[in-house]
Amino acid sequence: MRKMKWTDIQSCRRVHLLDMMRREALKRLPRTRPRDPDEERALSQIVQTRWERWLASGKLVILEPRRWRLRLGSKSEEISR
Amino acid sequence: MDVVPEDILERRLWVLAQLTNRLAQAGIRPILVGGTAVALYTAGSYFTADMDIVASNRRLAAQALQEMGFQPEGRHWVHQEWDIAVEIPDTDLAGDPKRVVQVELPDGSCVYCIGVEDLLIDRLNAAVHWRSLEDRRWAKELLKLHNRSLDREYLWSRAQQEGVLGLLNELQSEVSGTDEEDEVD
Repeated sequence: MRKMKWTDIQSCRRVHLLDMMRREALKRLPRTRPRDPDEERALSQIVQTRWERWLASGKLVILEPRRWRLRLGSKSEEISR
Repeated sequence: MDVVPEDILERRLWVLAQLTNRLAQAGIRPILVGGTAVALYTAGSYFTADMDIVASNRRLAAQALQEMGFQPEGRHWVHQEWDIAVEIPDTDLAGDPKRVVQVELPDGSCVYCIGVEDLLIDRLNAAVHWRSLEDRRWAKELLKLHNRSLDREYLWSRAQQEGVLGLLNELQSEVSGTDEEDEVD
C-alpha cells in the first residue's frame, strides 16, 4: 500500500491551486450529473445537523435577523460538545 | 484572536475581519459573497477554493490585502502562509445592502455577508442558466435552513425579476414536503 503524508497532500494541493490561479482556471464548474437521492438526503441531513450544532453550542448566536455573533475556534467547540 | 484559526472558514472570516477593519478607515465595507457566504450560511458545510468579496474601491482593497501579505496571482490575491485566496469579482453588491448580515467576532471585529435572499438568487441563477444541479442543491439547502427568517416578499419579487421564480417555487414545494415528512416522523 502506498503511504502519503498529510503535509505532502496539503503541499500538492497548494501548488495545484496556485497553478490554477495563475492560469485563471479557478472557476465554478457546474455539476449537471444528478446525485443519488439517498446521497442527497444524507448530505442534506449533515448540513441541517451542523447548523443546529452551531446554534445549540452557542458557536453562532443570532442577536437580530441581520446581526449575528460567531465564536471562532473549532477546538473549543469540540470540547464543549 | 492572535492564533490563526485552523478551520478554513474561520480563517477566512478572521482574515476578512482584518481587511474590514483596515478598509473601515477609508469608509469601505467589504462584503462576503459567493461560495464562502454559502459556507457561512450552512455552518461550514460548503467547500470552495477561494473567498469572493465585493468592495466599492478595488484599488484600496488590493492595497490593504498587499499590506496584509497577500500576493497577486491572476485574478486572485493569495496568502501562502494562511493558505487563503481572495478574489474581488465586483465593486457593487448584486443585492440589497440593507439585507447584509453583520457577523461579530469574539475580539470585537466584524465581517459583512451578503443577505441570504440575494445569495439564494445567485444560486438559483446558476442553477437555471448553467443547469447546475449542485447550485440547485445548495439553493435548496439555504431555503431549508433559513426558511423561517427569509424576507419572502423580497426574495419572491427578485426571483420574478431574475426569471428564476419557477425554480424557487419548485424548491419551496420540495422543502415544504420535507418539513411535513419530518413532522410525521
